[in-house]
Parts: sequence; C-alpha cells; structure tokens
Amino acid sequence: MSGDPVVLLLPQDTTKEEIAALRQAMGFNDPQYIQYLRFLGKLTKGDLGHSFHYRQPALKLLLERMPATLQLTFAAMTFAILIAIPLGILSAVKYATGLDTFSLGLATIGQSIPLFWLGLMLMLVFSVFLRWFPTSGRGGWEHLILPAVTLGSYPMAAIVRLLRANMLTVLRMDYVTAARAKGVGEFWIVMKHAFKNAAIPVVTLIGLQVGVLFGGAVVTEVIFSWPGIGRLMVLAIYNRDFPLVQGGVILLAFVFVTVNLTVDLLYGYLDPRVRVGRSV
Amino acid sequence: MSFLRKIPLKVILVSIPIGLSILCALFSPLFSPHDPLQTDLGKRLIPPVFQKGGSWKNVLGTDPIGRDILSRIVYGSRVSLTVGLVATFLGSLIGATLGLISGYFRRKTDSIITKVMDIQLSFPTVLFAIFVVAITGPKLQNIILVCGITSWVTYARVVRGQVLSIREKEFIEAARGIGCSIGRILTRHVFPNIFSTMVVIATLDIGRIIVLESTLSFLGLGVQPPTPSWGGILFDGKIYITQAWWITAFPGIVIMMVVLGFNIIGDYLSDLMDPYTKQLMEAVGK
Repeated sequence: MSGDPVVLLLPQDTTKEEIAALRQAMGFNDPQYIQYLRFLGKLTKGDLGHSFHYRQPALKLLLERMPATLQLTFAAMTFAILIAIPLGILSAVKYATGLDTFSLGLATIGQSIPLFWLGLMLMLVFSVFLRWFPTSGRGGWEHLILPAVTLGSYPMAAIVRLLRANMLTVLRMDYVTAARAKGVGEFWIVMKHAFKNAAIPVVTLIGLQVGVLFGGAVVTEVIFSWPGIGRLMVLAIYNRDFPLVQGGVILLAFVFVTVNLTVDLLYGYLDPRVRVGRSV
Repeated sequence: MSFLRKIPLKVILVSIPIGLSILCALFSPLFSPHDPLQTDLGKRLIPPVFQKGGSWKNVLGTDPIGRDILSRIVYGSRVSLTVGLVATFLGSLIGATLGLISGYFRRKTDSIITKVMDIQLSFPTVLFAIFVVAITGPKLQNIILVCGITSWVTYARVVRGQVLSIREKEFIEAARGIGCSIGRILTRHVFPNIFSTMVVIATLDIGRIIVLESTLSFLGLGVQPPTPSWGGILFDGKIYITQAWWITAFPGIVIMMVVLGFNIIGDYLSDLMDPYTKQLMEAVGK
C-alpha cells in the first residue's frame, strides 16, 4: 500500500505512540484477510465503511453526489444519441459521399481524442476565449453543456461507426429489396425496415458505453469541477481515503451491472428471437 | 516498393507522426533543443514562437518554471510509447494464452476463464486502472501492468472464438493423429492461424492504452515528476489554462495524432482481414 492514511489524518506534531494507537483503533494492525472479511461482512449490510477524511459514512457521501454524476452521464448520453443516430443513418444511406466521409472522419477523431484534452480545449475556446459558458461548477444548463459534450464524444463516435456498419448490412437484405419492390417510400424503408433492425446491436453498445461514461465522468468532473462521485473519488485517492474509493468503485460497478442487465432484458423485447423459453 | 502503392495515402500519412514519435523516444537528446528538466525562472510562461513575445529558442513556449515544452514532449514520448508497446504486448500475451486454453480445452476450464472475462468486463476500465494504481503506487511497472490487464479480455474473447472453429479442422485432427503434444498443437498449428487477428487488435489497442496512460498521468497517477510524460505536461498546465494555453494544447495534439494514426492503421488492417473476424471484433465492443 502506498501512503499511510493515519499519517495523513493526524497533525504534524503527533507522537509515534498516538499514531500507533490510532492504527490499532482503526483495525489496521489486524491481518489483511481479517480486514477483508470485516469489510465483506459490513458490505452485506450495505455499510461501505467510514471515510477517514470526512468522518462520515462513505455511502452517504457517495449518494449525496450521485445525482450530479447521473445528470452528467445522462446529458452526455443524450448528446451522443441525438448526434450519432442521424449521422449513422445518413452516412449509410449516402454511402461513399462527402457526408459519409465527414461523419466517419468525425467518428475516427472522436475515438482518438483523449477525453480530458477535449475537455480542456472546449473550456479554452468556449469559456476562456469566447466566454460563452462558465469554466466550472454545477448550476443551470450552461454549466452542463461543455462537460456533456466532452463526455459524450466517445460514445457518439462509437455509435456512429456501429450504426453505419449495421445499416450498410441491413440495407442489402432481401426484405429491404422486397419492401422497395412493394413500393414503400425510401424514407419508410430506411426508418422502419432498416433502422429498426440495425438498432438492436446499438442498444447493447449503449449499455456497454455506460461503463466508459462512468470512467470518463471521473476525468470530466475533475476538469470542470463538477461535484459528482468521480471528483469525490479522485480527491479521496489523493487523501488516501480508501473506504471512500472502494465504496465509489463498488457503487459505480453496481450501477453499470444494473444498466447492462436492463439492456439484456430489453434485448428480448426488441428482438423476439432471443426471448428465453420460447422456441422460434 | 510496388506494395507501397497499394497502401492508401491516408494510412501512409498517419504513419508519419507515429514514426516521428518513435524516433523521438529512441533519440530524445538529438531531437530536444533543451534539457527537459532545466528550470529557468527568468523564462517563465514564454508563449510559442508565432505569438507575440515568443522566440525560436522555445518554439512551443515554456511552462511556469521555465522548462521548454517541446523538449518535454520529445522526452515524454518515451513514457507513452514504452507503456503503449509493453502493455499491449503483455495484454496480448495473457489474452492469447487464456483464449487458446479456453477455446481448445472447453468444458470447465473454458467456463472459468469466460466467467473471469465477464467479471472484468463489468468493471469500467478507467476506474479499475485508477483504483489499482492508487493502491499499488504510481510506478512505471505498475502502470504498464494495469494497462496490460485492462486489455487482455478483448484478445481472449476473439482468440477463443477462432480456436473453437479451428480445433475442428482436419489439420488439427491430423496433428493429433500423428501424436503431437497439446503444447505443440497450440503453438505450432493453432497459434499461426490466429496471429494476424491479434496484430489487428493490438494495433487498435495501442491507441487506447496510450490514452489510458495519459489519463492516469493527467490525474496525477502517472509516472511521477520530474520525469516528463504527455499526460503529465497536461496535468502541470491544467491550472494555468487561462494564462498559458500552449502548455495544454501541444501535448494533446501530439497524443491525438499518434492515437489517430494507430486507429486508422488498425482499421485498415482489419479491412484487409476476412469479414468473420471483423464481426467478431465488433461484437466484443471494440
């Protein structure tokens, strides 16, 4: 373990005896497996331990900041979906045109740009030079835009690429030709016959991207001083406040697993072929 | 050189920044105009050459304690590329080994390895890396290890899928028939057939790992100062963003160009491969 939380907690002039006493009181002298079992025992009761630094239950601190993180990730996902779905559809329909090259280029850059750097550059251009948006903090919608765009750029790129590839495959299917022969308008062919089928893997991707969003939220919150779980956790890491870090990781992994379970269940609804307990 | 003509111009263009950064990493003293650690309080926050107050002495400007940004970027390529290449190698080694075992032996071994993959996938990568590095300490070997561990699942899944079909082929049965040992079948008969897929995943993954390393550095969990790294320069420049935009802008551009390069080359390589592999890789969520 790097960094002793006890030393960081106490003032500079504490004696060695006092440090030893606090170590004993916090249970750091027990063997590691005992400490681990104690942690697991508490976890079953929903107790994530006490934050060393704030001297409050870790779960309470984390839940207080949960709404801010959820708001940010939700806004980012909304941004990603709103931009990516029209772009993905259009670039498949207008395959190998200027529009297609543009959206594919945007997607490639979106997947290559480091998230924290994009955040800093957006802040530099729109907050420092143009003064359109505030640089940091949480408040009205104007505080939300830059962090949401920063965080949503990677999922946006991923959705564009997947949707475009799926649309290209689906548009070549026999049933699309059949619909066309039947005289269905091109708009309805794209939206109803092709998009509905191409969208299924995209739903899975969106579920998996939630994990990416949580990881990215940590960084985005640090850049824009967004008072969410991510920023709390990074500060906790600097303070060697392990219960808080542990609690945050467990909580975010829990939300991630819940979201993906929901997505898997939704899959059965979207695609009748994968419903459990029914033969095709 | 006729094979070069078949490679799209885009791929050749994006290889240039990658080649340059590799040269910079190998011969840092040749490419850097100053000592990257040399501080000079008389030269604090000098802007880049094209802005008023800049000079050719510090082409990309200086940081708050007078260190030359260009020199720091040149030396920083060492950390980024070392982590990128070594961690990718490590991840592909672990992933391919477990994928081979899991696909070839099936049954219990397979279900255990598949479970471990699912557990790892349920954990956001960046959070996992931050957590592990925060506990084990921000040393180069820990960073390489954690970046490698975050990438093995992709290789393992794809390799497993391919091995499942390869093991049923006649040439494997023939090898088994003439009495080859399992180790020989796996390394000499199965592995050569999955190698090209691994190269594609590795190329696409290097970029992700370079970004992960710079993210850790940006959070102060990278290779510790004074050693320069691309993410570390951004970490130093973050609080000066209103006064000195050049500290954060340039290292980011370099990271983006190198990562973009690896991604485009990876896409090109995967286009060359058969569609089945491509589908498999997309299913993994690459």
